[in-house]
Amino acid sequence: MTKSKKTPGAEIIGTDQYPAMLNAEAAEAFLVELSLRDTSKRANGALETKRTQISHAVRGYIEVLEKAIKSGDVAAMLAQAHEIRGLAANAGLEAVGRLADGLYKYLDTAMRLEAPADGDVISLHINAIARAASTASEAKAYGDKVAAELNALVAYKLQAINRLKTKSA
Amino acid sequence: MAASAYEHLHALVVEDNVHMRALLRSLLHALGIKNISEAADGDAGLREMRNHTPDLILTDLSMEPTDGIEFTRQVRTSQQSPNPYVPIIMVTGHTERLRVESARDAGVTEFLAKPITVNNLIARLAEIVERPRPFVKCETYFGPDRRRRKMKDFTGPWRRHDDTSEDVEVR
Repeated sequence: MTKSKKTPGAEIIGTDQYPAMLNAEAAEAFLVELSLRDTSKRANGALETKRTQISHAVRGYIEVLEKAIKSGDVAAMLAQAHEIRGLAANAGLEAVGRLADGLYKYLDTAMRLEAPADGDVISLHINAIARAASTASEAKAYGDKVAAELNALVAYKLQAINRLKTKSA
Repeated sequence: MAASAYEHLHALVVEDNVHMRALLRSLLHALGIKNISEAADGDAGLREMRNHTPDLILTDLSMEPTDGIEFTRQVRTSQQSPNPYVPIIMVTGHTERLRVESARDAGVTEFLAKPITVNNLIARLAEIVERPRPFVKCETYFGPDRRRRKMKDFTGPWRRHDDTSEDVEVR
């Protein structure tokens, strides 16, 4: 039991002073359930089933991203980059997630500062994302390396945008 | 021990991506949580909470128009919140670490890093059930105590006037 105490700056509310998520019996039963090998196996099965679906979804988002880039729709690029960065890791496509995150940050900053987005930065990202998402065995190592390099490029470009905006302010 | 003892447990998943929502729902279901509501952003999450008060919330961080940080803040501090003490697990990407501190200061209970794994989710759920945390209420914060790790040799400086090394847990 956590001791309740009152201090001038903060009131501490003990765990027995607010409603528990589960009563003692239910908490014990739930902890037993969580510790069972069968539970873990069942959950891993669910994760594996969803992994395939998520992988297909990520590839779908990449296709939409490519279309958005062709049409120059920055808001659509941003939306797709956001979906990809959130999902890719759970499809086993960690590098794709990092690359999409780099692209998202770049586009988001450019949009917020009303600066034109550099087409080369966008092209480099989509090419890398598409290649890293391929099933080739070298894709992961390639993706990791390129993600690191493109993150450095994005940081450099964002600094340049910020410098420009600071000067013009 | 009857499994039915926790069968009323109700989780709310707040996540803007339909695939991630489905993944979280599937995992929670496989772990024994059968009552699961869903919402696509923080505002919808707050509305859903008024319909079905959850015992547990899993929320994404980045969502439009209301993100996971604002949602958490509303759950903890809004007068309309049906349960300001509800445990909140925030799902975060590895690239969002800078925002994690803001989320913690909004009152998040636990963080679950992407990619989501079964072991990590089980660990977070077990932590919430086994070691519920006291809440702290002050002018600038209302939420679970943010100090976690015992620092036996810590001699100060103290943040609260009656702190001792027995009290201090640092995350």
